[in-house]
Amino acid sequence: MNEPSETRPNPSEDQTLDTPESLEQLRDAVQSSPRVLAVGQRTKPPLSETDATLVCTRRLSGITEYEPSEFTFTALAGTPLTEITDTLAQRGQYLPFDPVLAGAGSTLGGAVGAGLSGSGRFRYGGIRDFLLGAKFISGEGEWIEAGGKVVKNAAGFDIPKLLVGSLGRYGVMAELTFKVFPQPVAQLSLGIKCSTHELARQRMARVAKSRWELFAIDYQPDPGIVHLRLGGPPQANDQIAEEIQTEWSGEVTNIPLSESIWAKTSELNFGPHDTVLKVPTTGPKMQQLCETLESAEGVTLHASLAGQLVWIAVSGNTRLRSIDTLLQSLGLSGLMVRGNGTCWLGSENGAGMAIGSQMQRAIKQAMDPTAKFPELPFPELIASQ
Amino acid sequence: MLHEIKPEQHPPLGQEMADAISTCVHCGFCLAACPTYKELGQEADSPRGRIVLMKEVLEGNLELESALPHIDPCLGCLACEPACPSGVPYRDLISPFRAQSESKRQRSLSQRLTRWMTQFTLPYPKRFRLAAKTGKLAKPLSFLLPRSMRVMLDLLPPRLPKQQDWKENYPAIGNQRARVALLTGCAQSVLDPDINTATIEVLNRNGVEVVVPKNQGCCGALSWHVGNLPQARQFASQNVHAFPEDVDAIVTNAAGCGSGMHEYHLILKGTADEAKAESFRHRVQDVASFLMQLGDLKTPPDLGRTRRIAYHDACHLANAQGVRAEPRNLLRMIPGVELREINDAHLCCGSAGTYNIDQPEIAASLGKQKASNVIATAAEVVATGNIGCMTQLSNHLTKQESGIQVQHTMQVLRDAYLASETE
Amino acid sequence: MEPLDSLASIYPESRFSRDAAFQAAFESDGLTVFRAKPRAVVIPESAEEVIQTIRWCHEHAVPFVARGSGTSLSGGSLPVADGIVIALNRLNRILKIDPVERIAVVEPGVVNQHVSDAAASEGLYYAPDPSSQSICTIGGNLAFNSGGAHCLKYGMTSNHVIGCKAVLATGEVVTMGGESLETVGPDFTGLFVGSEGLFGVAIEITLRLLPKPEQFHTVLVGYDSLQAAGDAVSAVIDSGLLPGALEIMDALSIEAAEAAVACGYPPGAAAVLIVELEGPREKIEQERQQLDEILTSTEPFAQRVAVDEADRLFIWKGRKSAFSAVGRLSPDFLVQDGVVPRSRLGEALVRIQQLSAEANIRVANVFHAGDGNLHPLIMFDGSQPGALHRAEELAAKLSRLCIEMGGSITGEHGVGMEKRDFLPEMFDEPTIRMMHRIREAMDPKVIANPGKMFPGKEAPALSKVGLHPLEKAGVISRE
Ligand SMILES: Cc1cc2nc3c(=O)[nH]c(=O)nc-3n(C[C@H](O)[C@H](O)[C@H](O)COP(=O)(O)OP(=O)(O)OC[C@H]3O[C@@H](n4cnc5c(N)ncnc54)[C@H](O)[C@@H]3O)c2cc1C
Ligand code: SF4
Ligand code: SF4
Repeated sequence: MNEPSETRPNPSEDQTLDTPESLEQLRDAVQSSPRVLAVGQRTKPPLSETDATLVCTRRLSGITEYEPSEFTFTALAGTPLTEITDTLAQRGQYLPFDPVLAGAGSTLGGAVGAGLSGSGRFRYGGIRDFLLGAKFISGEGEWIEAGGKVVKNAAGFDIPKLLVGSLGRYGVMAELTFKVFPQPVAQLSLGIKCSTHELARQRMARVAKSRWELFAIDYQPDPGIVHLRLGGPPQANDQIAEEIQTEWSGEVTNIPLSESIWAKTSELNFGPHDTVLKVPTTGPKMQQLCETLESAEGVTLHASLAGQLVWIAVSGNTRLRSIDTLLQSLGLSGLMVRGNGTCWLGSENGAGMAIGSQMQRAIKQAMDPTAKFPELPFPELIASQ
Repeated sequence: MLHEIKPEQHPPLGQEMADAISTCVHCGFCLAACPTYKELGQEADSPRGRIVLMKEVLEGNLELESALPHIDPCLGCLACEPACPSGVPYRDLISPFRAQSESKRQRSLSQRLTRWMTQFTLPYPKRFRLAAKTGKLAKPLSFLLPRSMRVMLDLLPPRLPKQQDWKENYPAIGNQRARVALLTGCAQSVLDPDINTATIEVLNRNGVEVVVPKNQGCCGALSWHVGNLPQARQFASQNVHAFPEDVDAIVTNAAGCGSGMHEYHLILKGTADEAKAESFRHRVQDVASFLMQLGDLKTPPDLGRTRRIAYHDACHLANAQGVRAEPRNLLRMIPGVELREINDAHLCCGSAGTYNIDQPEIAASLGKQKASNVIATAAEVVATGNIGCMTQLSNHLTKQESGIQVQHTMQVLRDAYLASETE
Repeated sequence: MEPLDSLASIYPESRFSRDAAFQAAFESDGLTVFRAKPRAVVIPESAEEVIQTIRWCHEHAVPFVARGSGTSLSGGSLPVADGIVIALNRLNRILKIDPVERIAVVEPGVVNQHVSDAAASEGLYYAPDPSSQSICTIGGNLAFNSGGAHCLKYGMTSNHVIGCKAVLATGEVVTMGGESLETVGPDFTGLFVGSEGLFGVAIEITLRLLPKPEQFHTVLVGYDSLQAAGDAVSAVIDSGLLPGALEIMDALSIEAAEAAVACGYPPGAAAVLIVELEGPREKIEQERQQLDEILTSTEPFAQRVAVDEADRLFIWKGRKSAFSAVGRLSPDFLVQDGVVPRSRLGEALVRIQQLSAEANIRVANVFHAGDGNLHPLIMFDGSQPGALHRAEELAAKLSRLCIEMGGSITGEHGVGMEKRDFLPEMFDEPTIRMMHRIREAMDPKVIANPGKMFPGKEAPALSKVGLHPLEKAGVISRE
């Protein structure tokens, strides 16, 4: 059931790929095919592995509204994340959750559909928390405008949140509105050497609870370094860094930003691997994952969010079966975001996402009554239909 | 809150009740402060719920008998008042409502008997002394009595202190700075007459002459708070005449009495004494508040040892009269005193007049919690300003086998003054 | 008629009531213009009882309304006449505080403030702080995606609910999210938060806790015009600072708060601004200088910095009491809640003043300025014939104003009963249809809090003009 497929052909080769250039065309594209899945730049191929017609939003690109003093912007779904981060940076603003795979070309719509957030999610929230509104096409070909364009809005159901992580199975996103924050004046990166995974976990718990208000807390099990990111006025950063250095004297090093792991982590670049899994978890299981996979060849682990998220990077598909088994035994679920094969691994209830529930089926039915979009690629759901 | 009450149909306090209701905006902030809501966890037993129920009864939309099971458990502790941002004078509603409903409600024989017993004895020191003694004799037979009366017996102290009487006048020691009249209280003067003696001593030592009017009676608070308006009026009227005009203040040392006397204008509304009551109530002051206002108090001697004292806010002092800081400051004035705050200080101890008798379960639960919180302070003494609280506290502290001593703030202060002379 | 007795059999006598007193006590929430008497009130003490109750309601197609502390300001917890009220106040256990993962798992009836109290010894707290936090419940917060003064930096309830176990109106029990900040798959938790009780009842909620800020720097600034206070907000925002809170109160609400809690706001101020920075002391040390310069440049006529924690709470007390305190200025008032783009705050305020003058109705204003979230308090005297109607008309104009300006009809109080007629003005038809479909997916029989959020025929609809048939029949009423 969860068998990771190793031999599926790359779907893009024999699949139609529609690339509309206007919202009109986008709607036509959705209406003209019986089964459709929206894609951006396909930086996360496993998520769009389907035989449905692919509609690519990459030509629907550009920021349509940006009012810095409003703390919001609206952009077309195909806008590259880099264009957004660059534009924001010019006005001293940013998306605090470290958008994922921006360098690889990921689009805004793709980031929402995949529901990915990077290390910065730790401080102010993830992509779900910054998404304010979404304009999308329903399976019936209608324009839906959910949420709002202001930073606070409690009217109606929060449909935009439902789109986060929906892998494009609920609609085709065309335009998205986000909340942004002012960038911290300066950032600073520290590494704490930890001899065991347990020690790393303890230290992450300690710093996560501390008065220092860290922006990101990550862990590289190999070579055993906890990475901290501070943000704020440079003088304050220095003072706090100094205190952290005294706390674990001799084990803490100042890492120049140019050599820090943050950018690489956002690109899911954990070494020479072709496959990356996202595994939500908590501290103790993170530690178990680290311990179990410590000497596994061709596998690199990286923990973010003080241990509540583990990225598992793998070379080739051969190791996936044993990782699947491991995740199942720990009751964890994993989403394969890079590589190729089925995007789902591990346990059915690991992420608490109500797989197999009546609710999940009913919501899919409500969002997409004509089954225009593929089913969510979750095992139980497919099996029961 | 909007309502359709016709005040004139509910004399003499229909307008007061209607005004209190219309000030309520139904925001629920008071729920957080209410002990019975905390205990029972249901809207109908919260201040907001009670206000709605009373409104419905006054509008004629709800049977009194349906509302009473939720009105009766109200402690009258008034914790809901300071918690209310809208300034609802809950006291203007609950007491008049009780007074009005008393005549209309049906009570069982044993309830009536108990109420008659308490209202016939408690306000009258002589009768109470007698009843208390008889009660002690009756303790072994208590299983024969209705439950509410058994509770009453349980509350009696194992032995009553010696009877005390007070002179009509106690001159100031040294320079006279003020002159006050003291309400000696009824139950208090039987259960712990030393409180009055201590109060007089402390006042005298600070240059205050104390007169003890001969014709004073019970303050009437008990009758008022249980809805016995005729009796309350009789006492109130007696007192507005008994107390002299030529004093700086009418001083009380029992929170319940003080708050009751502050409400004389309500009790006597529509009677010949209405105007007199209005001026009278403004002269009533708790002894702690009077002393702090007087200022420049004599500092007790420093004995070079520390004493841990917890202070318990009597509801009718803190909530009803807004006296919180004064007694604490008096205690802090004593050299070596370490003042301890009690957790959940805003929660009533469950004594609340005859509450122990009417609502024994809630009273016991609150008493137990309060005692535990007092014990947690690791104090040697717990001081408070109300005889009812003192009885409840010592009862529950004893039950939890604690040796913490219960004293009136005036007793603590007096002892501190006297310590110098015994040294 | 379905056998109510079989529902009664789930509960001991004391926790199932058809009593007139219970019906009266539960007949409205923080918005008392609507009243409806429920058929019965149940007071579950376990999640299992909630599940059984909802399954019973589903089986017999009887509507139910979950109720926390009934502080909803939009009529969200107004009972459905003839339905069941599920009062969740005794489900008030904090099941777990995990200081290592920094989460709290709570039952829905836990009071917001109690979560922070319980986490305090671990140096943690629960960030969302509605003014009603001393009494409102986490279940109610979740249903309304409640906000508070500190939303600007940390977001609303939704940002802090990472998991939720709920019983849907179908009787199905689902677990959404979990103990990790991240999940995979569609964000069902995010959808459930803010659903105003229309999907079912949350029975176990997992909250994210944050480390308590080490230091606060709270400044109370007085201005001689609302405009000046508004400009100061823009100046702060444009500076790149990210304060924890940016709140404005106008003269009328200052007057009310002053009367209620004597909060010592600068006398004669036409507006006060509360700015609060929070964080590690080193950061505050730097940022407060920056803030100081900005505020000085806005030429306030009074300025005060909280000297200690007690003083800080004192400043906040005035702000947090503001709604109820307006009860001192006017026998009745409607608390409004709308959002406009922040940069158009000044314009919105002028329009509100105009509308208020035209209608000859006093409007006090309290707002989360950083978020552009307005709370106009429309004052009226309900004993005057037609006064409520005129106040409601003004409220409608204010809601439309927010929509017109590209904002929202509610920032945090929810649609409930009050704003349901405006939802279709804010969203177009296909979007509303989709919301309906989602609702039916969760509640095919339309028994969970029916009549709220969407306009429509379903009970207990009150028409805005004239009497509703149910009102005529005396089943529901409004004052
Ligand atoms: C004076 C005052 C100040 C306020 N200030 C603020 C503020 O600053 N910010 C703000 O956002 N709000 C504020 N509010 C509004 C209100 O307090 C919030 O909406 C709060 O979240 C309601 O909580 P409650 O427990 O009272 O819920 P209730 O009013 O009892 O219920 C609210 C809604 O939640 C549903 N519900 C309750 N529990 C559950 C559950 N377990 N599962 C599913 N649905 C449930 C109910 O059916 C109802 O629709 C204020 C209200 C008052 C009276
Ligand atoms: S007087 Fe005390 S018991 Fe009665 S409603 Fe107020 S707070 Fe509750
Ligand atoms: S706090 Fe005051 S206004 Fe609010 S419900 Fe209680 S009594 Fe009414």
